[in-house]
Amino acid sequence: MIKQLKKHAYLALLLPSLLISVSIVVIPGIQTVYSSLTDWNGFAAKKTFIGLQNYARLFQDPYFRIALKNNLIWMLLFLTVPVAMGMAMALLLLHRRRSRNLLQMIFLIPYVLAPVVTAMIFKNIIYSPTSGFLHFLNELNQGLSLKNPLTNKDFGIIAVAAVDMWHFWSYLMIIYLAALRQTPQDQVEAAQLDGASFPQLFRHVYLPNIKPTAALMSIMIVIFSFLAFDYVNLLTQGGPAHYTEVLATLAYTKAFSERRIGMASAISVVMSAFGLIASILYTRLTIREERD
Amino acid sequence: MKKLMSVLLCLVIVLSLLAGCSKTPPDSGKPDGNTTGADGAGNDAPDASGERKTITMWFWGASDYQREAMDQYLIEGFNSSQDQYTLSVEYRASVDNDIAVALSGGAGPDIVYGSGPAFVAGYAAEGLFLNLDSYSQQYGWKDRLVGAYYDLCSIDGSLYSIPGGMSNYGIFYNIRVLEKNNWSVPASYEDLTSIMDQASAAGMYSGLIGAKDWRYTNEWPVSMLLTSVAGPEAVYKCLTGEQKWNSPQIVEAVEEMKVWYDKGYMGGDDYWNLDANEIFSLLMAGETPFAFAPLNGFQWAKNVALSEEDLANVGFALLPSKNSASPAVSLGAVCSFSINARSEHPDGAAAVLDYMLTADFAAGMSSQWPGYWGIPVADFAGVDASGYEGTSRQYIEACSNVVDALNAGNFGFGASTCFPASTYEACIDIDTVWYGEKTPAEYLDAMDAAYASDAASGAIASIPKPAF
Repeated sequence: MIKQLKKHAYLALLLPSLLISVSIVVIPGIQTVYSSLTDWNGFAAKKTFIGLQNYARLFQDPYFRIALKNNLIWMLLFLTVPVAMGMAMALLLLHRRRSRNLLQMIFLIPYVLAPVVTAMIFKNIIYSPTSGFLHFLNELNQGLSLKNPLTNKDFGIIAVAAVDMWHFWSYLMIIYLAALRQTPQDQVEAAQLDGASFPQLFRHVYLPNIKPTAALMSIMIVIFSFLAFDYVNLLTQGGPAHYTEVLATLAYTKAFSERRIGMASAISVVMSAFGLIASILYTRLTIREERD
Repeated sequence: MKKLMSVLLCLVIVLSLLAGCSKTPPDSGKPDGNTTGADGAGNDAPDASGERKTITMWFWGASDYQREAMDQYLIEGFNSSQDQYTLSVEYRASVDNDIAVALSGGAGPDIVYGSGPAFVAGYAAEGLFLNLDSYSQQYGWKDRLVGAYYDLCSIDGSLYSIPGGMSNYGIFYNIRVLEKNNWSVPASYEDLTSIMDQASAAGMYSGLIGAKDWRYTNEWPVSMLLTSVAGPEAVYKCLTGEQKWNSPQIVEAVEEMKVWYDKGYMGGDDYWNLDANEIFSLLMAGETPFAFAPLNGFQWAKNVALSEEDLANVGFALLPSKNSASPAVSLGAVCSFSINARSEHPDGAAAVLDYMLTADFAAGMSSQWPGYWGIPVADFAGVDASGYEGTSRQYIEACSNVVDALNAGNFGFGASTCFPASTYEACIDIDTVWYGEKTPAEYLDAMDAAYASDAASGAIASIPKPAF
């Protein structure tokens, strides 16, 4: 008996996390997929099965297309701006042994602020043309007429994403810095002895070493991009005129304002599908790397 | 041995988790200091006398002075008015979503706070709210409530909720600004727009509405101008399915909404940069002659006033009709109260609702918290406002005027109170017209489609018929 227990002890160790995953991820996940095939309003006892009608309606909905486009813009912005900023700052901090910790701490402050605080800072102090920084600039130069970027038709979504990027980039910096510091010192020294310039050192020594970390973070960014909600909801609620709508705010509106849980579930399934694609890509990349 | 210990430890963890998943009564948790009225006791827990039953109610996270008013006039007032029940109010910042989730899960408080009568329809259709007809008969609510609100809170002729304070839209004006510029309180629509044009020329804001923190503020101009420009009859016909939204009167109103936005009657670009408190600050500072808001504006005025003098300098008037001599008020309520069908003490919950439906309660609450508790009881008009001071007096006088208009059948329809869920959501998209993304006709076609969807799902509340 003891022998048998010993043999399967790992199963018992797996059980808690398995139970948690099944109860709060798998079962609600299956329920969400099922709900997306119904017209459920969230409180009715009966869910009428309507097949793929919610999906058909969704792809005809112009606001869904705007939201999807905005999520893609969000993803592209996050894959470039904070990644570049985080990497550049990590490289700058790599050789600053004495001030590194202090600077990391300072840069990390936006990341530890609650989203509602960050949103209020930008909404009321930075972006506000009636009382904030923009107002100050307008007052300073009477010829200026800077307007709240959050209400701009073309740049509203970028203005919202900028707030989230301001909050997020230092997290990437910390991760990249940690990965850079794991680079074997002998490789770095060998390259330096061979006369490698800093760009060459980065390209041929650091980058190959941090590639798995960078790839993982990119995949995570793709997944997070399709889950973006808090800053959009806090800053614009998807408005004005749906210019800053993203899939999560659209799903929230359908669920809690219109009480169309079936439709909201369909949007959630689409959001998850993008995350799934990113996860599959990551898994394939990892397998390929392991093979190589 | 170590492995055996690991296995045992895992079992303990799993059992703990399972224990954590066991079902607990929804009201069993003490609400971390956010409950007042029953010392955090659960349902059925007798107090010192061993007799009283606890009636639970959830409410949004009110501020300190608002909670003091709730304590004094609702909780203590009700608890001392009888000896059978103890009212316990729990303040929750996310009350709307909490209620939805709790009701879906077969739980929730005895008295259900809702965002208005339109919110009630879907839940009532699913049998989650108690039919209040027997209580209405017992307590005589039909005679005590303003008829339009009684009808609005009914579904297929049965009462399912009572309304909270009235939220009819109107004009808050700065008395000194009007006097200084020789303007009088607008008696006609033309007067109003003329003053706003002159104010703009004088470098002031023409008028203000603020949607900074809440895009759904879009419902204000929609409700105001549908009532004032399209008129009650046209909107009534749309809400009862007799007429399409995309019809000439409604198109005219939507075009007027665009004129208002383009001409800066709602603050221009600052419509999106100001919130409700800020528009009242600017009104009191004399930066604009007018702020447009529902009656709740009185509470925002109180929030931001620097002195009693500031408050005394703010007046309220009904919005004039464009195509009619007398102004119509848009029917609106800040919230609704229903009884949970699963309540163990429906009689006690009904006693609380009955306690609320008196002019004394409405005026008492309004004396400390003006702007929210002007419950549309028919005898509100009889309240002697001279017994109150400052904003409370102005608010009570405004409520009396509104009740007079309502009793005369002179009312339109507020979007959040009267529009079914999808139609309401579609009306919020008025900003697509302002930004030129949609024509008025396209916007109204979307409202027609949303209304058809609401009608198909049976989510349309009873719509009271105005006098026309």
